[in-house]
Amino acid sequence: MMAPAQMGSEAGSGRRFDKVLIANRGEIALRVQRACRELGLHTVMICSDADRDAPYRTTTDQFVCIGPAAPGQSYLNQAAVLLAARATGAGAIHPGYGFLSENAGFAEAVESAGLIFIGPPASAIRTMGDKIAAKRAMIEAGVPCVPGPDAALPNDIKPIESIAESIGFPVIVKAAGGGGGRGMRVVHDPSALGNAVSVTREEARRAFGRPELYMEKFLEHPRHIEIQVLCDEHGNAVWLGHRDCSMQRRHQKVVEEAPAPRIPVELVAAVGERCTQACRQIGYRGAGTFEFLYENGAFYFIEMNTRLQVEHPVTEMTAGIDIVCEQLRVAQGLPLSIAQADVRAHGHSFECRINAEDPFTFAASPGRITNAEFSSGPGIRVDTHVTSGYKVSPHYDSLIAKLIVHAPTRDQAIRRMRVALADTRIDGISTNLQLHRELFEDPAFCTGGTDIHYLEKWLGERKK
Amino acid sequence: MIKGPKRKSGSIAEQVLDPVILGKIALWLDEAGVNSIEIETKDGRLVRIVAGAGVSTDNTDSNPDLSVSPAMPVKAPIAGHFLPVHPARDRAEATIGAAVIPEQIIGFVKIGPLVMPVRVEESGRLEGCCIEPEALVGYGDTVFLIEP
Repeated sequence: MMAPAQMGSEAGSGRRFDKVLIANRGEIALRVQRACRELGLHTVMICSDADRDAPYRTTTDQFVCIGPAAPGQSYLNQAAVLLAARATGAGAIHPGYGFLSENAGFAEAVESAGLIFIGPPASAIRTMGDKIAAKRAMIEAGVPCVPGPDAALPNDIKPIESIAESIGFPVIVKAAGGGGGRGMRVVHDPSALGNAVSVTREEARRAFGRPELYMEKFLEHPRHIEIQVLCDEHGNAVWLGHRDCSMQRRHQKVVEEAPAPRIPVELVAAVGERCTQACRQIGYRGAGTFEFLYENGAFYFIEMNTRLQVEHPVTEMTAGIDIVCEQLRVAQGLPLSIAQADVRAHGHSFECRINAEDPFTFAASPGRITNAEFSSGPGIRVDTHVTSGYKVSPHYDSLIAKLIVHAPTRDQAIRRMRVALADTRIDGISTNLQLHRELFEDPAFCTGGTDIHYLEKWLGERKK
Repeated sequence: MIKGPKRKSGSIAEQVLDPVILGKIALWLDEAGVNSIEIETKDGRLVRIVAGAGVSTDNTDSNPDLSVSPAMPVKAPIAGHFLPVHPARDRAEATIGAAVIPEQIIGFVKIGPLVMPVRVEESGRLEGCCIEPEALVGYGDTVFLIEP
């Protein structure tokens, strides 16, 4: 991986911040901490009562508890995070992923407090958080979108029926403020449309606080493909390659890989260029991900994630670029350290999300890890915060580690991952390691190009 | 803790938000032996001014038996810098060995211009302070120990 440029020497005394508060927990908190330390930045790590014993407390400059275990009273408590930044003298806040990372109000509050939000401007978060506005912006930038109007559905059912007929069934009704697989309903025939709209509208009102819906063509066997972008405030924007995140269970990604197999390079390059163009148009800054459905040789934009993604390491491995370091550089006001011409994809990378969960029922499995042994060797990376003796909290996401491999070819990467999975051992709690081991022996998965429904189907057959 | 009578006021309530006036009132309360007063504004806002006249240290003759009654922690209510003494005052709210009662203020946590009181939850005797003045404390960190 390309060594990150030192910020101090370039920025001199004009550095915008020297200390970063990391407003997150778990593996991503540690990942961000390492990038900060590498760039000579001091770190403040916050925790909840449940994370007082987090192993990364020993490697940060300051470690401070900001509230009880419940996320709403700690990691999602904007006032507590801002007060902790004030008390510790942090000059910037890195939100990681999840929690406050895509909260435009928080980004604004950080800036209002005179601090740097390490992420895009609040306006960009807001635009991309509104799926209708995002789609409109993408159409304007020439990014291919799923067929369907870039406007909210009207209230009357008659015009909604007309829209559905013009798109063609099946269609999908989605909440404008939704995401992550929530607030959406597939409609296969006209008779089910009215009920689907009213139920989804109510769900959207309750879950997202706003009832607006929109409608798109429902693609039946798409793949989930992502394009990673990086932008600075000087008008530079690059795309770092694409990822295939189709192996999902209930809209939660399980395995990711880069590059996405069996997609023509020229096609991806054209879409990547459109993505960077869109970034310039909306004044984007920092790291972001354009998510697409891919079917029958065409890309369809679904949403943009205005933050660092869990799966960013597979792109780092193939592009040789430290995305978190670039985020920090951009937040300092520095230009990106790479130009589009410098970006090359080398080899193939996989990431397995290792979760503390039952490999068959997927029920969370909190508790104490009595023994943790991770694989190592050429082309193997483990992003984790857990060690032997670590207690997995029931209060948070079950992700405990990301096992990442990189090799010259996809086949070699598969073989490397098999060995790495075999060498990984976590005792004391249940994990989905066995699921990964089986997946990496599955012929269809190993061939590549499976759609987003494949894993669910595979799991259904596996139970028999 | 001794509380002064609750007073209703309009314009005065606006004035007491001025740190200078707040400081003066705190001194007057201290001289009068009153720990705090509450001022309720016309719009229903309650302003509480804490003087914290300190706690008697006379009653310190017993030897605590920790094996029988373990010390109870008094925890920080928020992350910030610990202050044993209010910034506008010159003496600690409580001294080691003194008797303390629920709701009594025995220290502060400062975040920028905000000063949050550290309050006792259960009666007892103040056994010790675990944090150095000005040190960073987190939410729930033990600041004092109290012998029940």
